[in-house]
Amino acid sequence: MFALAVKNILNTFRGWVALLGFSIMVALAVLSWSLVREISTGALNNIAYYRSGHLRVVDRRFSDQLLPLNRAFPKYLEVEKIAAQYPGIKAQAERIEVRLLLQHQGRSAQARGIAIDAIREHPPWRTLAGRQVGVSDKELVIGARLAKKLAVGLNDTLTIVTPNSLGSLAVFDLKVVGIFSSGSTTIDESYFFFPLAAAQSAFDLNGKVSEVVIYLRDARLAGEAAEFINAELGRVAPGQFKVIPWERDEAVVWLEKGELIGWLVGGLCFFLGCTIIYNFFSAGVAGRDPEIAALKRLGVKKGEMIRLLIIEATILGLLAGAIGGLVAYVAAQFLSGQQISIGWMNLQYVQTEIEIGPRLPDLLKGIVGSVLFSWLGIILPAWRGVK
Amino acid sequence: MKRLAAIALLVPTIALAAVMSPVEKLLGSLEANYASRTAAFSMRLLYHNGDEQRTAELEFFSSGADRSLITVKNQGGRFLRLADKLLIYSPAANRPVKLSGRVFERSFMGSAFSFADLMLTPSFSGSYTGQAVTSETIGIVVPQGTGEAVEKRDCIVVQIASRMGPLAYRREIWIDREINMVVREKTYSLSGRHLKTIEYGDFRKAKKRLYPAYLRAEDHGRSAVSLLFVDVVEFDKTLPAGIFNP
Repeated sequence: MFALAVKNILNTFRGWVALLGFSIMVALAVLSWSLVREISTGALNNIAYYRSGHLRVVDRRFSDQLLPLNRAFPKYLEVEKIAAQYPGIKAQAERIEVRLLLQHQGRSAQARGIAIDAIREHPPWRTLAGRQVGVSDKELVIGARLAKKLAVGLNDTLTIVTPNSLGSLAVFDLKVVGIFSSGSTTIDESYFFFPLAAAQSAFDLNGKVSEVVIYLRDARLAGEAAEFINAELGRVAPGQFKVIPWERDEAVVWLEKGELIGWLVGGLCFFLGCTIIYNFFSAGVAGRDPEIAALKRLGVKKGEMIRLLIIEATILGLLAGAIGGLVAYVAAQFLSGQQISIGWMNLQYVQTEIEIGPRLPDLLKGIVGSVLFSWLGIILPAWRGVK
Repeated sequence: MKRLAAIALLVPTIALAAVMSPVEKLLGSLEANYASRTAAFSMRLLYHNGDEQRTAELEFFSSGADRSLITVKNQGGRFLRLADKLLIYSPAANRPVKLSGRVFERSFMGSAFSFADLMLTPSFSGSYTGQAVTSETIGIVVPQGTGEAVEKRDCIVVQIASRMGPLAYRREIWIDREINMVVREKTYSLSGRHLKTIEYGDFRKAKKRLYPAYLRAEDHGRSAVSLLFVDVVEFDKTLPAGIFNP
C-alpha cells in the first residue's frame, strides 16, 4: 500500500506540482515563524539590556520618564538587598542614564548615555573595534552608527557639556575606547556607554544612581517578581520606589502583536498548502474513478481505500515538510545578516540585522503542520471518492 | 554757531531727564555705584551637595561691563565671560567650551548663585523698567560670616520688570536709603513663581567705594542656600595683560 501511495504521488506530473507548491508554502511558513521569533527574541533581549532589565527600580515620581539627575538616589544598596530576597534574581546592577548632546568637530547628535558598572554588567553587543569600558576612567563605548554620524574613531575625545545634578554645567571629556553594534539601528545610532564611577564624578552624584536594573533567571516571572519587590520596598521606603517589569514596555506589546501576525502568516501559508492538497486529491480521485471501482470489485473495503489516501497525504506532507524545511534553511542563509526596513513600525529595539536560520523546533513544526494540513486537505476528496 | 550746537546737544539731554521717572532716576544712580573700570576680588563660596558642604576659593576679575573672569583656585577650572559668551575651562576637559544664551541663568558650580549673579555687572536702568516703589525696614547682616547680627535698615523697595531677552523675569529690590546699595533682591519667573532671594550684607569700603562682603543666595526651586564671602577687594587695579584672552 505504501509503494502504491508513493507511485500515485510521484508518477504523475500533478503530484510533483502539488509537492512543489506545498513545499513552498511550508518553507514560507517556517521562514515566517523563524523571522518573527528572531525579531522577537532579539528585541526582547535588547529591551532587557538596553532599556529596562527584566525589572527596573526607579523613583516613583519619575517612573515614566528619564530621572532628572538631581533625583538620583543614594540608597541603592538597600534596594538591592531587598530585591535579593526574591528567589529568582540572577543579577542586579546600578545605572545612571542621561540624554545629552554629543559634539565632535562641529558635528553634533542627540544621544542616550548609560553609565554602567562594567564589572557587574556584561553588554551583549558585538564589539566592532576597541574594547569594553573600564571601571572608572573617563571613556566611552559608542554605537557604530553614532560614531559614524559624529565621525569619531578609537582614541578620539568627545567633550560633553550637560547640566549636572546641582543644576550647574558638567564639562568633561570622554575618550572613545570601543565601537559596538547591537544589530538594532536605533540603538547603534543613539546609544553610548560609559563607566558609572566616571558619571558619578562628572555629574556630582557621588554614591548615587538613577536606577537599579534587575535580571531574573526566568524573564517570564517579571510581573510576579515586581509585585514582590514593590511590596517589600513599599514597606521599607513607602512611596519612594517603583519596580517596573519589562512586559510593561510599549515595545513588548508591539512585539506580541508582531508575533501574532507571524503566526497568522504561517497559518495562511499552510491553509494555501491545504488547498493545493485538496485540488490534487480532488482531481486525483476523479481521475482514479475506474481504479477505485476496480478496487471495490476486488473487495477492498472503504476503510482500506481511505487508509491509502491518508498514506498518500502523509507521504506528501512529510516530503513537503522536509523539502520546505530545507528550502527555508537555504533561503535563511541568504537572508541572514541583511538589513530589514522596519522604520515604519517605529520599534526602537527591534533588530534590523538578524540571523533567521530556522531552528529544529521550527523545522519540526513545519513537518508536523504539513502532515496535519495535508490530512485536512484530503478529507473532502476522500469522502467523495469512497461514497 | 557753537551756541547752536551746544543747545542742540543740551536739548535732548534735558528732555531725557525731564521724561525719566523718579524710579528710573533712582535705578540710574544705583547703577553708578556698581560701575568700575576694573575689579579684582578674592572670595569664598560655600555651597552644599546633599549633606556635603563644599567651599570653593574664587578669584574674580572684571574689566568694564563686558569682561569678567572667575578662577576656582582649589578645584581647578576657569569661567570667562566675554559679552554674552561664556567660556568654560574645566579640569576634566582638554579644551574650553564656548556657550551663550541662557547659560548665564544656570547655577554656578551647583551653588544657589547663577553665573549671571556672579559674572554680570548689575544693570538696572538699561535692562529693567521700574514699576512700583514702597518703603520697608529690613535687617541686613553686619559682621562677616556669622549671619546672626543684623542691623535694621530703612529701604526703598522697587519692583522692576525686564525690558527684554534673557532677563525674562520680574525682580524686587530693596535699596538701602543711606548707602544707596541693593541689600536684598528677589527674582520671579514670568509666571510669578519666586525663584531666588539674594541678600547682601557686611558692607565695607575699598577706595571710597562700598561693596558687600557677605552674600546669601537661596534658590527656592532647589531649596539650596549658598554663602559668598568677599575677602579681598581691589577696584580700578591694573590687571595682568591678556587675562581675558580666551
